[in-house]
Amino acid sequence: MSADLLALTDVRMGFGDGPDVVAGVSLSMSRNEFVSIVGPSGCGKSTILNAVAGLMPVRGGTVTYQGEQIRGVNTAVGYMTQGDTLLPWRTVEDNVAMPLRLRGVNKAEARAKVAELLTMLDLDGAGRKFPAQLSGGMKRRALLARSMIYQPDLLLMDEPFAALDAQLRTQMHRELRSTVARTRQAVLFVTHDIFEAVLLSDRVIVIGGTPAAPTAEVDIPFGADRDIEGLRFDPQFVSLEKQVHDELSRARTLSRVAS
Amino acid sequence: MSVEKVVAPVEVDEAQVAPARAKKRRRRWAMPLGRLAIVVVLLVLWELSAGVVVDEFFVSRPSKIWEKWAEWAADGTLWYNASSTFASAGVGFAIGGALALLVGYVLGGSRRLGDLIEPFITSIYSLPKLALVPLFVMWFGIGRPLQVAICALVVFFLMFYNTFYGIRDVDRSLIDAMRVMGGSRWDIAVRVRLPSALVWVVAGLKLSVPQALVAVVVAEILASNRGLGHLVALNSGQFNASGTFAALFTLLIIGITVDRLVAVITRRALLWKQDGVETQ
Ligand SMILES: Nc1ncnc2c1ncn2[C@@H]1O[C@H](COP(=O)(O)OP(=O)(O)OP(=O)(O)O)[C@@H](O)[C@H]1O
Ligand SMILES: [Mg+2]
Repeated sequence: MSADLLALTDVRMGFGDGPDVVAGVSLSMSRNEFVSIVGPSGCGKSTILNAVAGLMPVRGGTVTYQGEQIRGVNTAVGYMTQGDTLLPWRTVEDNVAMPLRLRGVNKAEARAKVAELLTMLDLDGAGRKFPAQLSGGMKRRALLARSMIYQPDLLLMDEPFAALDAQLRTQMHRELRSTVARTRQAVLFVTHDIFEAVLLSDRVIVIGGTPAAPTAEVDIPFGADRDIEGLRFDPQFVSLEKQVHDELSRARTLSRVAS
Repeated sequence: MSVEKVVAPVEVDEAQVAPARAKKRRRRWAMPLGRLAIVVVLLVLWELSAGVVVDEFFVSRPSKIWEKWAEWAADGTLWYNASSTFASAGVGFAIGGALALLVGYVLGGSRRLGDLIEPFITSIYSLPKLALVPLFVMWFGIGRPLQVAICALVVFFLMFYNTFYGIRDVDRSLIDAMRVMGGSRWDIAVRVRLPSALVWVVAGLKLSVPQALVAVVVAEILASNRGLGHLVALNSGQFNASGTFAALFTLLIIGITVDRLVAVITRRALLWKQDGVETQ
């Protein structure tokens, strides 16, 4: 497996003086790859994303992004956080435009891109609203728009679609998959939803244990132009789903035994 | 942005809605009208009872107070004194507010510095502000500098804590998100820390603006030769009830007006916070 985009080598992390939350985490990603991380709640998935974003220092091991070791904040990635990090005093438009504005793109140009993205994410009428005026799912989509707007080589997404209804989620799945195929972006995707992980990913990494580490990897061989709607009826899809499910159950027991 | 605007247009039966709307309008006027009626009744009772039930020497009567007030308005007394009060309050508010923002921002931005200095500020805060007046008289004499100093002191303490905690308790995850998006320290300071503190400062205006006026009036009562507080003290000193009440009513009207103004300003400034801070 090539690792020209991202490589975590034997990463160990924890909070304050507490015990290690994750240890011995090694994983790698190549360009334009879609990788999901699944694992029991509280096992350290968001923590791993924070290491890739450079928001949390590692206790041991290295995180290398595009050949360079990450020491400070990694501004080369787009990060859709698990929590709501929209600025409440800015409109949706301003929030979504923020990564561009911070990179010195002028207002008019930013505005055009924002409009395009809001349309794609079904947020047409919401541009002038403040986050407090949005529903939970609309907020998630605004965050999604913000993390995608400047087309970083790697998107970190922490349970991006958890608050959406089934239909909207399917629509988002399709949009995300076709967008990253077009823009040749890689995605590191955290989810609880096995179906979603298998549907979208080229590879699913299961993590578990205390401290947590990858316990299994499942390759999903459907390629970039998969049929998001039809895939669920494919027998191979169903068996892969079962495989991830079994690995996740095993990881869950590991976490339980250790804690 | 009004909520009505974002609601999708739905078909409504106008004929059915119209009476309900009229009823709503009637209800909206009922409150202010009721209040006005209470004021009128009280004034009439006052007018009738003065000189009969209570000694007019102490309570005057509305017609005489009004006469006095009109006289002051005509000969410029009112404006002469009110403008002085406003000027002192304005300058005092600006100085106290600017200092509070500055000190609050610096101490709130650095946890260690904040922990070191904040107890000192709190201990001064717990001192009754009026106890400092004699000291201030010694330093500033009487007159405008004294009024400005007391006003600035009061405003400083009212706004310092809002700024301090506003900056200190800014949501960490917002800052992290800005950093990943490529925000510099400066970007974070002006786009996250400052707005997050301003929420509290704006919410605090409801208290700090009226208190700025109060501080000036108190200083004027204690020692001065100009201003609305001085006008109250002067007239009561001469046992002139009409004059005292005329000055007090002026303060009352200014107080109500300022309160309404601040309410409008805060509501506009905190528009984004729909569920938000009290502005009424
Ligand atoms: N700020 C913090 N301070 C101390 N411990 C923390 C902190 N944040 C998370 N933890 C702990 O680290 C562990 C991993 O947290 P993390 O958020 O990475 O889990 P997660 O896998 O993303 O869970 P979920 O699926 O529920 O989002 C948890 O056990 C949690 O208690
Ligand atoms: Mg998480």
